[in-house]
Amino acid sequence: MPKRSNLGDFELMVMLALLRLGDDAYGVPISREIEQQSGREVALGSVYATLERLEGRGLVTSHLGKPTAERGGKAKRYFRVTSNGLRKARETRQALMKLWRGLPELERASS
Amino acid sequence: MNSAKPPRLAAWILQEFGPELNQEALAGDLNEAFQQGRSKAWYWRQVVAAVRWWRVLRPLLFSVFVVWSWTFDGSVPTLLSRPAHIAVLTAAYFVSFSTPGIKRGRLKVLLMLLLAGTFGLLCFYRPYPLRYWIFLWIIACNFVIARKARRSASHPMPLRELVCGDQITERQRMIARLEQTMMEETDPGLRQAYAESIAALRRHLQPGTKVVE
Repeated sequence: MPKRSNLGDFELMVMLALLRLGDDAYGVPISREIEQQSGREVALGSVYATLERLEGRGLVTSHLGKPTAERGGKAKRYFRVTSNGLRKARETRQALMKLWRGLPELERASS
Repeated sequence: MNSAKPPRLAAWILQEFGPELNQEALAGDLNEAFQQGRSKAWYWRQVVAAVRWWRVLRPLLFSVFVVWSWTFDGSVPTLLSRPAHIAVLTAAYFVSFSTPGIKRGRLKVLLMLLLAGTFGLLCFYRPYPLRYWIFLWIIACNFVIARKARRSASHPMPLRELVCGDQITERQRMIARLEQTMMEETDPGLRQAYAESIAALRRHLQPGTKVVE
């Protein structure tokens, strides 16, 4: 069995937020998007730890933007989902859908 | 918009004990969110969540060790009977050990001369036992000496490497994986982004280390 084949809960949330944001995906909008969609406060440190991990697995890539005065002269780091990352997100979705199907308790709750 | 500045102590804690790889981007994001109206309490919560605690633990344990070995006079009960005294000395040593130090040459020389003069006077008059003054002098010197030089001299191996394995080797593996993925990628934009990620990771490798092929 391959090690860590599918994405974890928070990893998947971060990947989906990156896909929703497109070219404007850096720390603040990513955490805001997750907060809006999930309704829970997100630590930016956790977002970056997850992004570092995903980048290490080749699922996400990043580049530095320009520093601005609003950010105290600190540069933004923009993130993008790679083709590997897209494939992994699809695989995770399929695995979850297979597990989801045929569970009457969950179907009743959602209808 | 929030016109106030983010809490200075929290910003310092993040700079000293936050993540190494994306520290600048994270600090910038926190500043931006704070300027957009987030509260100081939110800023503090974010910093506490972002702190890598092993980076606090290392100088703290080192400070405890130095203070205890310095003040130990052969009797453990005597040492334990002065907790406030030990705590103050440990906190002073910890802060002095964790601060960046002064990098400007002239100021540093001036302060070192001032400290040497003070130390000479203390040795001459001896209002308290000499070893306490030597210890306080070491703390003062810690504030003056630039941190990076001291770190490389006294801590060749970070505690995390000791416990969790070699970070450099891990980064080298990460670079090798990214290079492999970059070779397979067809989109020129993504290839460029991969190249930038690899360059960023290479900058975090210590000088003189070879990348695993």
